[in-house]
Amino acid sequence: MSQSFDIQKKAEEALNSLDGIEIASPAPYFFTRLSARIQRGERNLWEMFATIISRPAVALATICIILLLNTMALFKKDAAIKSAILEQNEQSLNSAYDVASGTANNNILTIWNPEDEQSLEK
Amino acid sequence: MPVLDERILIEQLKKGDESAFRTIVEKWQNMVYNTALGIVQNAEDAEDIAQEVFVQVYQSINTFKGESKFSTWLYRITIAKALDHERRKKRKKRFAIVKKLFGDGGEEVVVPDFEHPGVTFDKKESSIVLFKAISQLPENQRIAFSLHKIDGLSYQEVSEVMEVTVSSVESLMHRAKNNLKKSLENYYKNQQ
Repeated sequence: MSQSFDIQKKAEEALNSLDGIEIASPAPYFFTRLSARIQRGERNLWEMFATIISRPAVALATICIILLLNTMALFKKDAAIKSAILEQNEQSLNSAYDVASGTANNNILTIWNPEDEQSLEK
Repeated sequence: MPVLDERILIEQLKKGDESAFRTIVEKWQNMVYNTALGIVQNAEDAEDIAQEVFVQVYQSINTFKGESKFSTWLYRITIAKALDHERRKKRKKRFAIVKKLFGDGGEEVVVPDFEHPGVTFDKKESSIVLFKAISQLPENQRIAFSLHKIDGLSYQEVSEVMEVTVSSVESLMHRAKNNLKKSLENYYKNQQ
């Protein structure tokens, strides 16, 4: 019983040990050290950039983005080549058809002449 | 410092006035350092965090719109930096454990007892035990307890810094005290 009371008392004492605590202050010349850090920081902007870039997560993400862009470019190029071939085929077909139809028309015109038909009737 | 003087100082700093920055640092360095020290419980780390806080103030004073008190803004930056610092430290600790598991020369990080310089001599010993228990508390309870007990903020001020209601702070403090009591009782029980 007294043991448990003792424990409770000690715990209570510890809990109240921060009563009347005074504010802690940094070591002297804090501002001098801070100014030096700010100046160092301004000089080291490039170093900071390099540190960020060399982080594994950032490096991995950059590689993934590059791979993705490459894959996209590859697919786009593939599609462009396919459409160019299709267009070329279409053009050659069209020109062939034009030639064929032109010849056919000419043939028809040469074969069927209405004036000839009239002279024949006479 | 009167609010008007505070505003003038901030405006001067926004214009790039170095002497205004010096005045701001000198005015608030103890507050920032003390808050950081209460959270990270290490003098070197607290100094590092305090410097980081003022570097951020110097670089991003233009983002301070004056919607809250300047000290509230400073408290928020300090807490964010201190918690970030703790997370980094925990990550390092975990990495050291993994390294040790793979026999890669990783050394176990031993956390030394923390003695707050502001605690009176007769309470030093029990405060060491209390700080150990505080470090085991959940983040929100730890911040609320630290701001109220170590920095001496009222519940109203704590609620402004933590951006919660006063009743939430009361609840956090109640739970923190209960948890600390249990933890301290366990500690003293194991001591006997």
